[in-house]
Amino acid sequence: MNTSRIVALLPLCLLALASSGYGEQAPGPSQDVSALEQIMATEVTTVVGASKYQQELTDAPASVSIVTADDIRKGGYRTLAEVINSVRGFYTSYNRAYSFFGVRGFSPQGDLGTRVLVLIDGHRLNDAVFEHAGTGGDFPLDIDLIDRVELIRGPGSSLYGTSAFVAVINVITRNGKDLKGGELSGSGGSFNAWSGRATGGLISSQGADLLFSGSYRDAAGDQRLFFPEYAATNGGIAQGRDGENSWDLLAKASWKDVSLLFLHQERTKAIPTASFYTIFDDPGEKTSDRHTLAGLSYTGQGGWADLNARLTYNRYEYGGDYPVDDAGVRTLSRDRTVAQWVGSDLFAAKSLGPHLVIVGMEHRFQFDELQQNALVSPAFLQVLDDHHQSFVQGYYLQDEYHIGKSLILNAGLRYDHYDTFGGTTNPRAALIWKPREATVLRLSYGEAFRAPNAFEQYYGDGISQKGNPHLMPEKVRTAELNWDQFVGNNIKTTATLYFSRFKDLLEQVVDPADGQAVFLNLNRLESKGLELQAEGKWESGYSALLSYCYQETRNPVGNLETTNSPRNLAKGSLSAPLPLKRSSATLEMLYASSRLNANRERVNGAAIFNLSLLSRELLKGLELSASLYNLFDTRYSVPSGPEDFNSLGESLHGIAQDGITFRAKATYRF
Amino acid sequence: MRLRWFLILLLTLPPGVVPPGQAGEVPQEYLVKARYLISIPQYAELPPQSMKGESYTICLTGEPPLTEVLAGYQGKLLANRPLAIKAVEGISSAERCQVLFIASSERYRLQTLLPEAQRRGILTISDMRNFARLGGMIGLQTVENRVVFDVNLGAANRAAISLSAHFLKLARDVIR
Repeated sequence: MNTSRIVALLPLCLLALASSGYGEQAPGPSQDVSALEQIMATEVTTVVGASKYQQELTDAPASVSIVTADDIRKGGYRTLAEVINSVRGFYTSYNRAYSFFGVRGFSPQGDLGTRVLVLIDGHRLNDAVFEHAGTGGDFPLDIDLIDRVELIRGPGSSLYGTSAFVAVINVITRNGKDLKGGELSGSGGSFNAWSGRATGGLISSQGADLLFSGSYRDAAGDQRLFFPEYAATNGGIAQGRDGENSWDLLAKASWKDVSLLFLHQERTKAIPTASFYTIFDDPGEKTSDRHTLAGLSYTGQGGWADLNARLTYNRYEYGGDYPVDDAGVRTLSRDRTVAQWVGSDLFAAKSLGPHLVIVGMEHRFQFDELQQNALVSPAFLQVLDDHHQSFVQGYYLQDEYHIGKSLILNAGLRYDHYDTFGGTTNPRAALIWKPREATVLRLSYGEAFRAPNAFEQYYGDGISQKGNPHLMPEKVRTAELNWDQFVGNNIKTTATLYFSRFKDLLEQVVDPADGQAVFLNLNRLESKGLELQAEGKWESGYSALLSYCYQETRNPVGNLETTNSPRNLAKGSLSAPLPLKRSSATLEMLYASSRLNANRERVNGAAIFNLSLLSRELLKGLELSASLYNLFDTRYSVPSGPEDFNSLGESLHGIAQDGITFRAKATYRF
Repeated sequence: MRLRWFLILLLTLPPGVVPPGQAGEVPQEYLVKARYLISIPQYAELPPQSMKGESYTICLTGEPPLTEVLAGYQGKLLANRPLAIKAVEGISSAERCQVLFIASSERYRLQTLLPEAQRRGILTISDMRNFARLGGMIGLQTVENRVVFDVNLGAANRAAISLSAHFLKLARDVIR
């Protein structure tokens, strides 16, 4: 239940017209505006993140999928990662600490999620040290507060600079006017997972739109996780090591052209996998995240151009406790990272005849890049205390040129400058041709980069790992052909072919000189693929989606299959109305074929089925949902990463995922 | 090597795979804009000199992608006249138009189109950015997944077109 939801409801429109007094009107302007209100309420699908201004999907310079709040409720999705996993070409891995995802067969092992830019209402979420944006339990926004998610495939550096390497995900939050009142929501599910949320929203008499929300979540997690590779310790059972707890706050205010956003989340997660050479089944291994995002944005239309300004403050604090075995003595190693940045993004959009031009500049002062590591017990020993700062500047230009009646050229270019490695320039161009109303063809080419982050440049403990301040950016070039076809009243099909060439990808290798692991610009990859999708939505309430992706990502040196890259992805979902008022049932299937783990061993693929029942209004204001995840209790794993070694040097083959689980949820609006 | 594989596919695919033209269906935004086009006249009173002819004619210039959708409404009654849809090259051939929809590609011609339309009492509508601010009467804009409209009441009044107060209330922005 996802992706671009351009669905034709022509018969409905005709009906609306027929019943609206159309054709039988008395002389003089009509006073009955119900027909107009109906038109105004009809949803059309647009995307903001592809060009930094609102445009229809058919005009966007990239392949875009949209997941709406309604899709999220119908699918019973619990995290942003689950939303992402439902979309064609995307796949996720959960290592029981964090969720990561791959795009079009590209998901390097050990990647901290640095190659996708995540925006919340246009504000960059990626932090200043890891340049990671959490999408699992560490995504700092309650999923119920999402209005829609834009997933924009392909290189986006021509507008956004670093991180927009293989995709941009723009999450748009709900407004006070969507609520006009309060909402209380609670859920309970498997593994003692509970959550609660209270939200209020209003429009003041002066026209200010306000929204406040707070959420709390707690889950005991799987009490007995079995890792056969670790059978030497406690029979391979991690007992009560999977708990997770988080809370978050959101405040939004907008008035006229100005809007303010504040969000904060704190989360802790126990780690059961004994990653990073830690002691298995030790209660001490855990990770914590605190994320704060504050943003101010201004959009001024009219005048000589549309002016946009965005100011952002982003603070991320990470803590990790790793119990290691130091010659028989249990030693607790603690990582602490504080990443803070302030940034501005200013751009102007102006129409000049058939051109729509935007010119902009972005500055980001990463004023706090603190990385610490210490042994905290049995004796305190400071191992790393690294402070850095960095300044990033980018200047960009984009032109949407309407060449003829049915042809658009969207071309952009951005120059970025870093203190460390200097400058990089990244273009993107898309030619969009609509030979007829129901057909859109798009040929695009783009380049993108990912700057080395502070972790890769400066993290070192002097024993096992060292930094490398001389790293260069990673680069990717992508060519893509996309064909959208509307068939009949209710169906849209999409076919895409793409080819990407990655170079200078960072890889951690051991320096033979001192035996320490270090990042180097080593790897090359080539990726090609085909994506096919058909989706339909009918007035009767049925909707269906079917997608298949073939993706092949190889290292051209030796023509080796890369790790964590399933060759085939297939997704399907079917929603059907239930006899109850405003109720539906949604069955979803997610298949990913086998992938290689960090040791290049093959981890089997799996097809997972989820079933969700939703009743939007069982009683007045009451929404209920019940979901079963992994309906057939399929045993499956995602590939382990290079960090999945315990203190005995044993490594995991894969990370076991949950079997069948359930969730029941109630939301009351007043 | 792989690049060649890709280029070959690129070159062979597009012309071959486009299916023969059926009256295909269209993105939702076109439908919504088409519905606006045939609804807005209900809320507008045009000066008598512009109500020439037997039919109520909506003219389109610049071949907007709405043409096919609107064709489906031909002949229906609008202000007690049968609706006609007509593609026009310029304002000179817009003799019998009551409504002129200007495609966003025609922005460069606005300075000739708008004053002439105003003189003849033709209601101008477009989905180009900032149309109302540029002197057009009704601009359709897509904002937050809805199509909303801005009205330049000054431009309408100068053309002796009056708009219903209820209609104006629903506008996102009214320029006076």
